[in-house]
Amino acid sequence: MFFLFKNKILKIVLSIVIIFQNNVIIFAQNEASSDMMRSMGKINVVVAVIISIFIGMFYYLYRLDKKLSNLENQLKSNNE
Amino acid sequence: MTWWKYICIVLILLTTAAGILIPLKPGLHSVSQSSIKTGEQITFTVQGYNTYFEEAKNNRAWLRIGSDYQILASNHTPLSEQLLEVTFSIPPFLPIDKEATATTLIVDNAIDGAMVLPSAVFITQIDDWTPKGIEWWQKNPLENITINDKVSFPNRNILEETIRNLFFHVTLWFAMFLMFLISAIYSLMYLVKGDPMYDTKAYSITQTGIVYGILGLVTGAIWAKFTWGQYWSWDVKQNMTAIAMLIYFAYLILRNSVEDLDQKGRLCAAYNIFSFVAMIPLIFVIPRLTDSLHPGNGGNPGLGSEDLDNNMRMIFYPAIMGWFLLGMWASQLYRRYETIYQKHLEDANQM
Repeated sequence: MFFLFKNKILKIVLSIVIIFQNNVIIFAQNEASSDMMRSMGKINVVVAVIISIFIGMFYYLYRLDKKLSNLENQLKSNNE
Repeated sequence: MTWWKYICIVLILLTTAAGILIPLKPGLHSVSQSSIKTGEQITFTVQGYNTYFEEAKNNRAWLRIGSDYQILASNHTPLSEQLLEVTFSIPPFLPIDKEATATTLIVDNAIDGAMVLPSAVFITQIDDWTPKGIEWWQKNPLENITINDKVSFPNRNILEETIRNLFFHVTLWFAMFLMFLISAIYSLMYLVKGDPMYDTKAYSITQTGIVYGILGLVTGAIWAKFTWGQYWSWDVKQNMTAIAMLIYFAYLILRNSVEDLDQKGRLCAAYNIFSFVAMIPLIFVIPRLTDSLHPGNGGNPGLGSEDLDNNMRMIFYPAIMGWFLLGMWASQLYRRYETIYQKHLEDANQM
């Protein structure tokens, strides 16, 4: 279903939402006992936080990369 | 590469590793039975976390009322390292004239040190109270308590391992604040000296600061879901930081909506200083005036020593520095791009 959306950011956000939705379904079925985020002293919350920071920094890099490529292309076409 | 970028790498790697690897202090999580009547002999299990009940062997357990009265457990059997079975003979009378009272469970052993579970067991008084109860509850004083001085993080109920988020969520906000401060200073310098370089610097730093702010909101929401119960609890600090972020979003929009370069620079510099000044009451003043779920609010300034002990401080402050330097690094890359882009535009206009 992701192929329906052209916007990349929207794809990323949607996939994150869907991952979390699945977790919610698991929570509802198995109560607290096999709750992924709450097991092992809630360590997975820390994992989720670190991953979201990585996603943010990678998005920043990706955007800067794209801007630089555009600039490079413009400079190239100017020189020709 | 300049020297501070190496410091940034070292700081982030070290603080992240330490923040993840240092264990939590041993603690008590729950008891299998939470309500007893006076005069009963009761056996229940205590669930520990990071504890060594089997290895330590010399476990002792108390039920404590207030700071003067306690009874010692008559028997303790470790079922596993994390599970301790304790037996208490509850005296026929409580030490205080109350129908029911909450008691604090204290477990002590040589490896883990003393561990406390507040409001662990409720005791109900069956017969009419007599002062005789006081004697029963003073027979076994709390003594020879072991102090655990291993390097560890505080083990707090509900927070549990997520206390480590202090090094990722809270440091992002501190770093963001420092970056906005520097950005506002550059804006001020632009207004005074008029060099467009200062404006570009302010713009790139603000932009990274906004990325940090959004990450702060997202990580905070994830943390809140599993400690406060909801992604967004309409907590005063959550709302105020969201408003501060909106004010900074307007800065980006303002920047893209003015054509004239000189006018754009001065407008944006003035607005950037305004946003910084507006952010201070939103983040630091208003949340302290009302009740908030965040620690350090509602008339209680700063993080308490139970939330942020000395071990955590030694990682927390370098971590702020590390994330701040990473933000400056990212903004410096953006500023270099922006400078080349501006030059390219000028060259294109001259042709």
